[in-house]
Amino acid sequence: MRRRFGGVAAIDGVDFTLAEGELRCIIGPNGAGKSTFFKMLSGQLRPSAGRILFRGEDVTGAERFRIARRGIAIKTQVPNVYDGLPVGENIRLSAARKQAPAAARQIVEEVLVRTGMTSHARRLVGELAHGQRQWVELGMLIASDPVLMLLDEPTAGLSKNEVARMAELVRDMRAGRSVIVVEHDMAFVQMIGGSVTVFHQGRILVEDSMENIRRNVQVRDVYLGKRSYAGA
Amino acid sequence: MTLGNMNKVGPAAVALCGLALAFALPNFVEVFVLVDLTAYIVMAILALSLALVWGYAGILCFGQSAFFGIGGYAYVLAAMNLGESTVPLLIGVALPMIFAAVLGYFLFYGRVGDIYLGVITLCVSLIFYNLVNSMSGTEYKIGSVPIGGHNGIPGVPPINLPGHPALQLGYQGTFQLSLIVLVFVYVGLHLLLASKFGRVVISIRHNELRTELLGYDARLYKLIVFVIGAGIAGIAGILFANWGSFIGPTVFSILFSAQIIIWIMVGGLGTLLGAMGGAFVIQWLNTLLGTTKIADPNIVLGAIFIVFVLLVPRGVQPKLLDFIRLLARRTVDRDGEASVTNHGKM
Repeated sequence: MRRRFGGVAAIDGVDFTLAEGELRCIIGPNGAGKSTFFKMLSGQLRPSAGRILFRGEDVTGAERFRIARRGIAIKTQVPNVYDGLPVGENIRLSAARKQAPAAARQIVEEVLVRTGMTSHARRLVGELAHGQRQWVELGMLIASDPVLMLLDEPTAGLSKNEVARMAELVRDMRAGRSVIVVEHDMAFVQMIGGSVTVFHQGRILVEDSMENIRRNVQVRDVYLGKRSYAGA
Repeated sequence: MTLGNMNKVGPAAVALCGLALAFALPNFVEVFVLVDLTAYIVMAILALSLALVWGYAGILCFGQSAFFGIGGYAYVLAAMNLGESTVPLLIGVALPMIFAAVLGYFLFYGRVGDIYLGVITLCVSLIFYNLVNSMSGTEYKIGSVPIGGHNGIPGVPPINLPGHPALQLGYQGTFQLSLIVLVFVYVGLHLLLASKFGRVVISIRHNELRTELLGYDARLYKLIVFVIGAGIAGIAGILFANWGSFIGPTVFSILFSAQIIIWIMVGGLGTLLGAMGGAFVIQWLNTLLGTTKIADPNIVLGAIFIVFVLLVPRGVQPKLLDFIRLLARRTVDRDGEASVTNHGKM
């Protein structure tokens, strides 16, 4: 896949494959193209070149709501929640698309418990701290019962305890689902497991287990800015 | 957001008050008061249409007056040709909705940005204004009725009882019909916005991207709301023509379009009662300034708009509700404090 913004190739030839039920972590320095990649997968951006196949079907350039209906749910880098609506309503809107009102309400109760947001159910999301808003957005994803979950920096703004809780939730959610996580928090990546893909300058640098990635000199250099891809 | 049970009790109370007034008021006031009130009521219906489209769905439509005018003109031309009002009433509602469906399709499915949508709808109003204004010659007619250009179309016959062209509404009947329609539209919108459909529409205004990422087709929801809003504006246009026995191209003017927006801004985005209140108050102010000649109404209107945008951007109703909530919280705090003191003593 390729994606250009004017003269800049944010994604410059990425070949990415995810098996059904797999958990993958994407890491890489800022500007590597991770979020752009997610935006293409969720239909927010159309690739300049290349195709996206989901369960064998070509979804390249499909409307974002159609991609969502196929079961691809994304937690965006900057939380996309309804700041002006209560927490409960945020989650209900997510559940209500597929569920009847009674079932949706049941799901909302369950999700509020799982995300620890029960006491905040009536509060406006805009009044919550950043970390809490992340939980609300995650709750919306859970409520939509997705097939593929895309989590863009789910631990941003979370305390150490909350990061551990988030890792537990992601591991729980993994059952019967495919998950791709973009993260900067390496401890979190270790907690949830899964193999790692390293992005750099719009391309995939290396794909390997976390063990090997940690020992990889190339990856370390890329993070420390010692290496640009073109310089081999 | 909601004041608990107020959500159900409030609108029901408002509706009952409205219906009570419709039947009782004519017994207590002069006819000319009813006539004045009818005009305000018609504008309140128009305000509700924009309250739905802009206040709740977030579609800043500068051309709500276009649907008002299309409805009015369609009704007048049909009624004066057919000599009966029942079918023209349907035409007056249907035509703006059809027009909105076509225009809306291109606006929403073409993913036209908010600012461009505002400009395009403004231009639509302008086009109609200039078009109708220029049709002064006697050769411009629909059936046997001249469009009349800048002179408009006078002598609009009153609405009659379906099937009985001779049984026409008088001033009292027009007042009552308008108020009953207002109540129906108000209750109808309230129910619509509380429904599953309505709540998705509201979510679109808050974060359209998120709504689509949840799998809702925001374009379709916006289109449907846009069409419903046009229908309501058309109803207001019909009642307006009926009120004044006249329709003219000023209904398409930018000034009028801007006024509708100011009513909503003042009354409160995301409110129905506030929108109606805004329409009433601004209209009343307009009339007051017009008759007492203290200041040019347009200058005052402009000043109000500027003040509200800068100081009270969410409008009066939300501000009022915030104030009430603040008072309620202060009372709770005081009680809470008292119980802590007692506890300490014990």
